[in-house]
Amino acid sequence: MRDTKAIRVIEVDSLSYKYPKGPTYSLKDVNFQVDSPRFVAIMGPTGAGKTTLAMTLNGLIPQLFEGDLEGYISVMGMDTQRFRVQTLVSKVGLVMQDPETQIFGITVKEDVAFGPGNIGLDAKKIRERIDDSLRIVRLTGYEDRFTSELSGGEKQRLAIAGILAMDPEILVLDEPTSELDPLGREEIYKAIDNLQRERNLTILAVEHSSEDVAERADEVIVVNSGAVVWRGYPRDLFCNVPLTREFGIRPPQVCEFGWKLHELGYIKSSDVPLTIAEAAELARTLLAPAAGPLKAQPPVAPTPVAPTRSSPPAAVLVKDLEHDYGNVKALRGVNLEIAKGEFVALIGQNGAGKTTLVKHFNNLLKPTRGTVYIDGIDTTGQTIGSLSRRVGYVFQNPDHQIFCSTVREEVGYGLRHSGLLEEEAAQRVQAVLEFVNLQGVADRHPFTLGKGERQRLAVASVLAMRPNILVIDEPTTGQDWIGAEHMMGLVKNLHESGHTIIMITHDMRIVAEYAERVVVMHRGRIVADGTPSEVFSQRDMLREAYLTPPQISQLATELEDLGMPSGITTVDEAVAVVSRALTVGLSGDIRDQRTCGGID
Amino acid sequence: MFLEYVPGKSPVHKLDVRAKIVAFICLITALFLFKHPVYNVFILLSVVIIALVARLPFRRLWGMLAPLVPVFVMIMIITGYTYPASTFSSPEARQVLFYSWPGKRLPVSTGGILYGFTLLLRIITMVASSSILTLTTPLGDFLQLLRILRVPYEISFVITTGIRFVPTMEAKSAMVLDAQRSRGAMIDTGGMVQRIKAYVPIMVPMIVDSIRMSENLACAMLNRGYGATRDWTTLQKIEMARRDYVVIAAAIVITAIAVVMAQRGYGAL
Repeated sequence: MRDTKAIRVIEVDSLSYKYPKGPTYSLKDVNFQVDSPRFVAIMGPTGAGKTTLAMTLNGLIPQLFEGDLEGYISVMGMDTQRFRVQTLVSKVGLVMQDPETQIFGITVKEDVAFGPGNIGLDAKKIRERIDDSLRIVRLTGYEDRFTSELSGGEKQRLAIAGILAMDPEILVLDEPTSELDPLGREEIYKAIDNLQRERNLTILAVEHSSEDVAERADEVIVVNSGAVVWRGYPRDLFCNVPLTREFGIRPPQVCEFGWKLHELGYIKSSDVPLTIAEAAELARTLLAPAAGPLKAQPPVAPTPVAPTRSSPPAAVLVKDLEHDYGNVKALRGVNLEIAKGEFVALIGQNGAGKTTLVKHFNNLLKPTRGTVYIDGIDTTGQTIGSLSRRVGYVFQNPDHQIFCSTVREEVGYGLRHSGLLEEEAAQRVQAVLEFVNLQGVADRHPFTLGKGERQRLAVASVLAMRPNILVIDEPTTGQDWIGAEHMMGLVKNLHESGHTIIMITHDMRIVAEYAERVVVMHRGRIVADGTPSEVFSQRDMLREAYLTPPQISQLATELEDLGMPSGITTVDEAVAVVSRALTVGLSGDIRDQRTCGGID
Repeated sequence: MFLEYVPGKSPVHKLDVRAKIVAFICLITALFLFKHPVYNVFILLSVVIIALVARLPFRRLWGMLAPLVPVFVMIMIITGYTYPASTFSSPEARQVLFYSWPGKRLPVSTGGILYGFTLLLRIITMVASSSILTLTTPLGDFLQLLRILRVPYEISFVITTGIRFVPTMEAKSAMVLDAQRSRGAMIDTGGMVQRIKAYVPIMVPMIVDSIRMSENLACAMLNRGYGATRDWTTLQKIEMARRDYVVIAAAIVITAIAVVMAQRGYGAL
């Protein structure tokens, strides 16, 4: 796609690596080459060895992390085992997942200057590099801002700028967007697009979001259990849905849509679309003859709202709630009623007020003005402890609360102050452990558990208090597809067992698939409230709140003129609409017989 | 206090860190030369003028001093009692103001009160002048000074990184605290021992998280070429301008005059 001549920039030859205390090899006989300039995505489930691979590329492995390394890695012709990391970083820059630990400066400018300063560039040159790298990541004008006051997305872009200032020829990004909100992600990808346009840079990105990869990557490398199991064009991977499933990668929704149509026999497997534009074109070709019947279809029946809405009192009732942090108005008059047993997704940009709102439900924050009622009880005058029996709050990072030496103790911690008899408490702990399926590891040390298990442990420790209302903060952030599905399975079970679920999330697919009701927040106010299909069809509102609906809803909008109902939120709905239109079109309408026959 | 650097373009901001430190040392020296509060009032006034020139947020300065007011009152009272008239040389200072106990006991001398006042002025002047120094000088300038003094890079790196991580750790501890309280932890109740025990659930996750962070930090340092060369560059080189030399000279001359005056007996009590 660019007119520069391809040069071999990375060469990995029979690379195997085992961490000093690792039980098995984290990388097994990895071989690949990368020619510049390219955008290569590295995908695969958690624990596959993607981060380990990224760290071998600039010599962190085996120079900082020792262990057994076999094989040969060269970047820009330099053997990573023979040159120091500090020398290699001018050739290959590595941006890691957590921006917090990659920022060294107190101001933005000082931080970008850290790298170039370390390699001894002169001040004039450093200033040029600061200007240049901040411009690429779109942080121009932030030079004198304090790094501690940046948002998560801005921090991540600053981390990228800090690496770009070293002027590397290869940029390795390890899950640069997995912890960010949609706007943050979008900004990171704009920065990456800028980079590709302006510099002849080779980019390797570890990324879970197949939709972002599909739009940009020239190539995909799939890593699983420490080995490269697949390599090729994004199209060949994502449009082959069974293959992505085999690798534990969630395919883009439009690919799933296409694949289902293929399974129904409407299209060839080679016609499965990769992007929204392709999917729209495909649908147009398919539906053009059937346009009449499609228009005549009734709109998708809205998902029924929780039937229990009538039973008073409401689980949560918020009246004219305002909250100020100093001079900053975080909530500006929120009114909300959540009935018992509802499953509500709370969405919106970071800083929109979602977390501030839910922290009022268990008194972590007190209203500046307004009132919050839980099960009909005014929270004023209640303690966090007493509310913890009504409202359970599951935080995003389980490691922020785990401190006991066994799983069982951890779950029982909250009960110590509850005045329960020891025997009764033990029974309750056992029941909760069984519910989250951790009974087998009850006596293990929590930190020997995997991330998914630790997260279930965090849920369990909240469930021990037997709250009926559960606030769950970003349950799937930073997880791969399988991890996210497991977690959501647990949330679904909790909902089915009668809990009221209030979930904060940035993943619109999860919202569409699981939530009954969506509440959108923007700048301290609720700007929309309804079923997923009602909310995701309000394009203008979503754009203003910086939210992007799921791919399949975007496709539905593209096809609105064909009569596609705008409330479509899942792949199955879209497939159903199209196939119904096609069956009607193919069997009934004589006028269209001729053209339809041509499709097969 | 280093965190509180207030960017600005005042003449005080523009001064080199070395000139500011010399002037600061001279000022403190002068402060300790005179025992009579009138002289120290003049010194404090000059500091206030400098603060005005630097356009410092007075409200914040007052915020730092306000909690100390009870201490100030205590100092006045204690010096009033503990410095008997005999310790002063001038006749007016030797005057006994009053006796607080019948039978000429526990005397309070004029000198004692005046000296208490001087101590007070010294504290205020020191707080104010050191605040001017830190509020008008970016951390980077201090670090460069360390570099000129041949202090190893590692030390200034530790200082900056330490300061940089203060807000991060604050945010993390708030998160951990929220998480524990949400599942029924009682952090703010009970006696001393119970309270200390209650902090275990906060400290353990914090320490575990810090260890994880330090490992990432080590990676990130290498990723940014830390230790590539001994001759690292900083963005701004501190440079002495004419005004800096003028300020240093003025500070030294004024302090010298003050020393001579003090020796001649001015400002004694």
